[in-house]
Amino acid sequence: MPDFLHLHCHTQYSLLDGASDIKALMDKAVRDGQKGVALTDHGNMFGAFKFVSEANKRGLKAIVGCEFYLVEDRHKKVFSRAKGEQDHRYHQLLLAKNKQGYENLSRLCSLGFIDGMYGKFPRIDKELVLKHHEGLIATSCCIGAEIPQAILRGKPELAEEKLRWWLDLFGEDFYIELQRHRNMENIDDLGVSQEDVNQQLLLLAEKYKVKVIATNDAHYVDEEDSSPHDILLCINTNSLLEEKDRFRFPSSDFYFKTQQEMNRLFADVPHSLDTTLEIYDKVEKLNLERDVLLPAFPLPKGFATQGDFLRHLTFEGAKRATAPLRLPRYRSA
Amino acid sequence: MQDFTTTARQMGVAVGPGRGSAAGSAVAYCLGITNVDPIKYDLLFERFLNPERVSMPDIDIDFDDEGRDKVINYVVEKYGRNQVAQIVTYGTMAAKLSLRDVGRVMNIPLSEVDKVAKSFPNHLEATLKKVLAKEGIDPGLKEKLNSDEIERANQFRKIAEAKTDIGQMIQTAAKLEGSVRNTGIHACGVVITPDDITKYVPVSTAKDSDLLVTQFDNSVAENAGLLKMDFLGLRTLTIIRDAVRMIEETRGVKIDVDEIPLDDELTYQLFQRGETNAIFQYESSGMQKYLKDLSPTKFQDLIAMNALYRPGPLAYIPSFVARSHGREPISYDLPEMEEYLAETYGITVYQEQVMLLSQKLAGFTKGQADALRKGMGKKKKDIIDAMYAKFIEGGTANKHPKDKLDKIWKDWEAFASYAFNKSHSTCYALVAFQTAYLKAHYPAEFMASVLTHSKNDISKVTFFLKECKRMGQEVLGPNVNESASDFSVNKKGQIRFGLSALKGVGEGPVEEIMKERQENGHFASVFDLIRRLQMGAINKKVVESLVLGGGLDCFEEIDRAQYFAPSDKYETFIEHLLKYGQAYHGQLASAVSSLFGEASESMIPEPVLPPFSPWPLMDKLNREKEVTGIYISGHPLDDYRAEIEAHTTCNLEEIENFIGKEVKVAGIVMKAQHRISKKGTGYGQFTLQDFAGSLDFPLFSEDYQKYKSLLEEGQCVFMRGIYQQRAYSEEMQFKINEVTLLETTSNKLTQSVTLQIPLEAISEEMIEQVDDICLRHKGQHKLKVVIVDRSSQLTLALSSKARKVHADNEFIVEVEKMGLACKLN
Repeated sequence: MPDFLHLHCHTQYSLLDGASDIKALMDKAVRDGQKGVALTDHGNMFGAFKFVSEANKRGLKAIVGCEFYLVEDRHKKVFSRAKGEQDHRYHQLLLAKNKQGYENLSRLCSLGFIDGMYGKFPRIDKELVLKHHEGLIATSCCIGAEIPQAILRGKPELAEEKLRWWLDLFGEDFYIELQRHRNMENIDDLGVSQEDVNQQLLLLAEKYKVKVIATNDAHYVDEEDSSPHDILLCINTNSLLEEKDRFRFPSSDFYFKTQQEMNRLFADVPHSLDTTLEIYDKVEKLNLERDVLLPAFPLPKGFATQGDFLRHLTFEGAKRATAPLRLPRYRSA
Repeated sequence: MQDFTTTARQMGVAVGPGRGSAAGSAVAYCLGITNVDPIKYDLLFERFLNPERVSMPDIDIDFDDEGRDKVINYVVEKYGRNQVAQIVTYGTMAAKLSLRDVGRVMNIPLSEVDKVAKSFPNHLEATLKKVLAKEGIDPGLKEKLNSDEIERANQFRKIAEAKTDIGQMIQTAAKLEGSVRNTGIHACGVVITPDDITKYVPVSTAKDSDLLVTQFDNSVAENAGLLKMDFLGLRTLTIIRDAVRMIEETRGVKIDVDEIPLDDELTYQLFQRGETNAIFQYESSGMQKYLKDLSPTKFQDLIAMNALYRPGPLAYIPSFVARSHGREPISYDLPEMEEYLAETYGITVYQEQVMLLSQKLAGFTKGQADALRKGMGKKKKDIIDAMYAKFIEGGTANKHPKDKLDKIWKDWEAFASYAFNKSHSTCYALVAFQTAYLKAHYPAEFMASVLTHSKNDISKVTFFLKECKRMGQEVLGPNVNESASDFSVNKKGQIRFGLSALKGVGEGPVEEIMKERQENGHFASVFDLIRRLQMGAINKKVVESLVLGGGLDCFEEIDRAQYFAPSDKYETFIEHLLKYGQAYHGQLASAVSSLFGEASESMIPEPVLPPFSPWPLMDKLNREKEVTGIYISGHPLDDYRAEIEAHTTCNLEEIENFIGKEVKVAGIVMKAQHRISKKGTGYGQFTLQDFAGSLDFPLFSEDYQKYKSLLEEGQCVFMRGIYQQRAYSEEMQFKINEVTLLETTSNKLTQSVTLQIPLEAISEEMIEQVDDICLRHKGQHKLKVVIVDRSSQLTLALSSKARKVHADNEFIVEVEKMGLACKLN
């Protein structure tokens, strides 16, 4: 049985969308003999620090990523309904390969908030990806991403064009992502299933010699957690559990599956499992802990170091201090 | 940090003396980061930094809460918007929130959800997961619950196990407990990075802040390399700052609170009398009691009280007090300990003392001493055990007997976890001393500032107004010719209500009124006011509020009720006034363009005052309360408070407990409605109100005739009677046996007055003072004195043959001001 590790995982930090507790998630990964695990929350990296330190504690390799909201223009925040405009947000998975990648991920994620905040969605665009892609791994992501959406909407040329853009930029670090969840036979009533999309993706992968990875869009740890997760969605969308037309996930498949389950699911494309290990090897071990960084205090003229200036201020201050200096009692003891 | 505190002071932002261990650093003192001289107070540097404590030290600084933002803006300007950020907080779903959220989604009635949520044990550490743990209540939690709470927890488990919607709700809530629901911003933390912050840590934005917000929270920020500083806003500093400003304005005295003498006699007297309402950290009633017992005479005492007055060490206060007065012997396990424990009378109050003693007795290094302090404070058994061996070894090497060392260690283990950070207490005692100094020397300005900064909380305003009354500090209602926007002090040293305290009077009108007054002097009449203010500066609502709040009472020729009486063709005189203003300003405008402008001013006559009937007192007061939120001129019953307390059976809220028994009650008649029945006899419906509640009751036939003249609206009365059910009716009635006016009978009710005088308080000066008060209040009440010796629990009752006094409210206030308890009999 080939090894496998999860590269598409949401945690509680996907605010009311993910239900996985980081520790519980990691414990399961360890129990199942997985070597590492990725963090890909929606639009943010709130959990990154905790994720990395919990992984390091357990000897797991933490792969820090983010499932971004990708839009045409991150600055566009006014949409005219009359003209039929709306905010088309595609999902986009990016993983940090190394320290530089992590810094770029952090920057992209920050700029998503600073430049691209719209409603509750921090958004980035391709202009930013172009600028900050060094050290990052990109995938074709889930059904909500650019390439799968083009396939879904019956636009194979567009899908191919999009793929070329990512491939040109990321080369070896771009992967086609396959997901298999139940009850996605007729997505958005378009008569297309997730597996249909997968088959198209596989064709594209062959044509452009892009490697394929298998993932599971994990939003909770165990299958039985799907109903609490469903309630979380209700809290998020402020709807009642009994409502028919509310937002919900298609099935209870969105959990952190075991290697065996993933192997069974992708038995026909075993290399998609192997490739997750390739990414594992590619990603350098991260450690986000560092000594405290001091602000770049601008030194006045005449002082070589901050220490000199501090000494100066201290002695000046001591002159002003009114209390007569005397040795503290405990020294003389 | 030095840069921020220095700049803040330059910008006129008040900077606190610091908080926490930074006060132990002489360098921090020289730099002005803290105002506490660590050498003077024997504070320890190693509590702040030492070789064994390699983490970044925390420096928390208080700024006045209004100036804090200015300092943060300075930081942002200095380092750039992209190098400064606030810190995120994650809002998680705690047990009860989780239950409510899940209950709502499952469409379970709120009342049932509430019932479940309320049945959950209230302990801080109780979580759904712990209470519902598979093998039974989490043992760690169970240990901390009392039997009552364990019972609740067991009940809760039962409900959760049921195969019902409620059971499912609880199970789901347990699963979701701890989920991150939303994010917020840490109240005071600010981080600064050497260059663009996104290089080091992802950031986000928040709706209610212009600053960036880190995506990592406070618990990991430091490990992620972020230098975190806490910029706290402290209202007390704002109060001090504004009081100092007012003192300069009204008296021309410039005070630097950092320079006030810490041996100021008047300030200590205030602490000794326990008159510490509005004194930072010393205002609770328990603290006041202990202050009276202790009678502090030096700053060290105040530091110790700040450290002792918290749960746990509280138990040592009586001993501390007794030792300070020499009623309890002070002993040391080893004579060497005296050096460090003498200042607290042999009681270990500070962590610093444990640290110093461990060094002296057992040769601990400063680092080890700090580690010991930490270990004991956090009850880390492994650290304590390791330190114990070292302590015994070092102690015996210093030739101390082992049994003594063991005892010392045991004592430390028992209460060192209570010991407090002396640096922190010193800082806060200093702030407290500053406020007490201002209260003692400049009571009007200080209380005006306190009132201003409590204005958003009516109950606090009421509380501090009472305090003013107790202090003999006059507080006057608003006045357009004298009031500022906030509470202020006039030339006579009286506190004036601010105009902004009036509902419906916004900043705009207040500014206009004050500006015009400053430029052209007092307003001579309400017409003058209307003429001089720009049209549009005030509207009907503003004038109404000014009238009702008493802001226009300075124009004595017009009564408050008169403003609301119909005038000419207008519904009220206020409308008439405004119309007059409009016409006046209209003419003025056209006159500007006319050559004969000058002559036109007298062409519009001032409106004639309309006839009116005055409002009953209670009406007037209630309307006043409507716009100010309180009875500014005081509750009418205030003058009889002591008599009511001494001579009634119960207050009107408690009367339900005395049905069928004769009770004595007192109150003010709020409503008196007089009617004629079908039979042609008169009857009435009355409402009596006291400080606690109100009572509605009817009076019929004879009783009605007998008492109706006394039960007039606004009268303060004393009633004796039975509260009972009316015959053949559900209704309750008050069967009156006697009604008297408080004004005339309150004196007759009182037979004597007892003063309670602690033995240690007796001095020649004190006796003279009491005598003086009695002479000024001669009357018919007997004077009794009880002398109390607290140490031996003995009391001695005396009664005066020579003196009789008139024990009215004024008398009581004066006696209580001396710090003596006083009771009417």
